[in-house]
Amino acid sequence: MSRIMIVDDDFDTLRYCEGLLAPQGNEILIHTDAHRALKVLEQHPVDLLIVDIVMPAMSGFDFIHAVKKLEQFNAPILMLTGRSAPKDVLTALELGATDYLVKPIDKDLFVGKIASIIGARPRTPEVRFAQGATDVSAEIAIPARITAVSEMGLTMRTRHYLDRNVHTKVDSPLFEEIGIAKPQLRAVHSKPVENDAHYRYEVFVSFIGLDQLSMQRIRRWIINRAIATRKAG
Amino acid sequence: MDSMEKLKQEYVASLAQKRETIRITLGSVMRALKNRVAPDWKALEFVVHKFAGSSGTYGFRELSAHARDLEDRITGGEFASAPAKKTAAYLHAWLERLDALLEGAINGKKAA
Repeated sequence: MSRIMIVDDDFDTLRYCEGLLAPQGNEILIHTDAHRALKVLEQHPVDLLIVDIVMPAMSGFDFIHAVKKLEQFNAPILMLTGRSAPKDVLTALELGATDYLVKPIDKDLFVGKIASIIGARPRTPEVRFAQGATDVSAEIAIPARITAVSEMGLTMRTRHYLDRNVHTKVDSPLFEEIGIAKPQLRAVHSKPVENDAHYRYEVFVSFIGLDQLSMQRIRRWIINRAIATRKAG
Repeated sequence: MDSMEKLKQEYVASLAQKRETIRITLGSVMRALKNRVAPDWKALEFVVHKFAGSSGTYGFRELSAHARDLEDRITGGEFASAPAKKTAAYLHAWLERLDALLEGAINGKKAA
């Protein structure tokens, strides 16, 4: 059982999320008041925090900024919002959000994303080493091959293991073919593959913060691929 | 009836109240336009933003898209430089369309 806190000033959304997650055996804490939620988090740990962005008393960005300052807080954070601008997605990730889901809620995607995040949570306490602070942008280029696309994300073959919940970006002509901008991605799992001379791992990465139009284009692309495959067969 | 269907029915029962909130906020904007004072676009943006999210979540995608369209126009500053009369006419038509969609949602029919 996981303890999940959801903070959203819209009570209808809270009830809907609770209705989806509680029957799966999760303990759900719902809060319309971000300040009150913050007080609860000071005392009680959670396994996942789900936060809206547009709230009257405190924005979701300010909320996660405050939450990250809590000494004992180490839960993953899912932003759940109607805002889909790339700058909002980037701001959320820079503030420390684990993932970002755009409303309206698609229940299968919502439940799937949460399972992937909770499953990805480290079971052991994080060891902290001494560090020298810096803030320099960098990119890592890893050769990869995309082998499948779903509404949830991409299945790829790579030479490198990607840790769970690591954020990444993938450059591929596939996105232009689908008709979407290069998306933000989060690694969900990496499995070793055999009998592949080029790649060592199969990695599943989840889309972060895709808007409704992008989701529609992905669905259409998947349908077109299925039709083309059937015709070819 | 499963629990999610029950939640949806309760949401449908709340649509008239939500419509009233939108109508009051939109009415305030239209009065401001008429009196040539600055409308509270932020308040209207907030109300339709919330409605776009919840209505789509409960399966009313047309209602959600309609609300999102107005939100995007406000956020994009479309009304900032437009003549007040034209903006008021647009908002009036928007509310009429909202009513048609709400009637469809409440009665379980597709709006014309």
